[in-house]
Parts: sequence; C-alpha cells; structure tokens
Amino acid sequence: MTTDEIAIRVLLDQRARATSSKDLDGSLAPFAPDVVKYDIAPPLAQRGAEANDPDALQEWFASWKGTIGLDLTDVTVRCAGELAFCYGFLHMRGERTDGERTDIWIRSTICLEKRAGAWKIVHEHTSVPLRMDGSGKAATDLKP
Amino acid sequence: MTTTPEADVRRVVDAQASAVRRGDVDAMVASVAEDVVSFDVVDPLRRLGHGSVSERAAAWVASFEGPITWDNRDIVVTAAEDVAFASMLCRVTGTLANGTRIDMFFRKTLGFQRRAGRWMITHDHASVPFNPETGEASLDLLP
Repeated sequence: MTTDEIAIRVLLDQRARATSSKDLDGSLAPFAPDVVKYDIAPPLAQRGAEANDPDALQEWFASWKGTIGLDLTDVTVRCAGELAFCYGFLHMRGERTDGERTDIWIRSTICLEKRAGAWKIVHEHTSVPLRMDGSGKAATDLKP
Repeated sequence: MTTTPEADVRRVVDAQASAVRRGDVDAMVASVAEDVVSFDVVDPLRRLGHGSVSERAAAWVASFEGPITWDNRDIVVTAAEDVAFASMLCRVTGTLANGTRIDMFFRKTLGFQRRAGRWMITHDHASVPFNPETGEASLDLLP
C-alpha cells in the first residue's frame, strides 16, 4: 500500500468516526469547498456551500438518538499522483429520535484530489438501488 | 494530435452516451474494464465484471420500444496521468416495451484507470435519490 493510499484510508476512517460521534467540524473537514455531492436523499446534486452546510448536518445528527453506527467496509482505493477514487459499502445503523430503527447498507463512492499536500474530497456519491420490481421503492434492505 | 487526459476521458463519456442513443450495446460497454465494480440505478447492490454489466446493458436497451435519448449535463471530469473520475447528471427519455413513457434524471459517477494506454471504466455508480420518509425512489427530480 502506498503512503497516499494509507493517508486516504485514514481520512475515510477519521471522517466516519467523526460522523459517528456527531463531530461537526471533523465530519466537514475532509471536504473541498467546491465539492459536488450526490446524496442518498434529494436533491439530485448539491454543490459547494450547500453540500457543506453545517446546519443541515447538525439537523441530521439531531435525528439520531446517541451515536450513529457507521462502518465503511469493502473499500477499494484507486490512486495515482494527486487523484484518487474509492468505493465501498457504508453500513449505517442506530436509533432515531422518532423511535424508528435504521439499519441500511449504502453504496459509497468518494473522489479525492491532493491540494496543497492534503487529500480533499471533491465528489461524493451515496445511494441505495431502486427495486427492479416496478414498485418505485428504494431497496433499503439489501446486504453485501 | 495533441490531447489532454481530460479530453480523452470526456471522449469516452460522450462515446458512451452516443452508443446508448444508437442502442449499440457493444459500444456502450467498449470502455468498461473486465474487473469493473458497478453500482447500478436498480438492484442488486453491486455488479462485478464486464460480463454482468454487458448483460444488464443489453436487457436495459431491450426493455425500450424505439429510440432512447440520453443526455449528460453538468459533467465534471478530473483526470491526471493514470487515474480519472467524472460526475454528471443523465437524462433518459424513451418508451418502454410495455408502453410506459420514461423521462427521468439520474446521477452518474465514473472511475477510470489508464491501462495499456487506454482509459477504462473500473468503477461506475449510477443512482436516483430516495425519500427516507416514504421509501419511494425519487424519479421525477429536475436539476
């Protein structure tokens, strides 16, 4: 494993742990100011300040009771020079403040650029697939 | 001819869109790597390998009656020596064999690696968002 790949894996791990413990600054720190984000929920795309909105993230944190179970598994890192893309599965689980229980496997793709010596996330795409059965529902119960 | 990695990757993205419009499955998957890992719009969670992706592309094209329109917008290509990625919003319109009219946007991220001098897609992630309240996929969103 190259030094860059290790640095990227550490960044992904730190970000997951920051989000898990609802650490706002730690969750947003790895993102570039011009990030393009395709999130699991609408809209189709968010860019820049809209994608890095601390108020929206704080509101999302508040929808979870206690810490958020968050594991990024099966991660592949493709890295050369100052660019990298990574993908894997994010297992997110825990109790929501409305009493619901969330336990979902999410596909995650993260693209990074090394800027001024530090890796930054410039694009993130997270999703679950659409069921092919014509129900129009998202497949939220699939496991790798 | 002088060219840049960005321009080369952009050509692959454009060639794929034009292959869809022609319904040419072989051309659609011509730049897909043997060991591609694909997260498709529809289930399962993941498809592995060129064979599985080609099969899905052929079934998808066959599910349409008549021509498919495919337009990419908001394309961002980032490319260097041997790794590149691209993100875009795709609009697909057409009529399914069962008569259903399709007109939808989805998101696409492609990961590329240069292998033996050719840009190959080694990762493909396409999706629509979903409403966590209702569990419904959001098929009618506009950029």
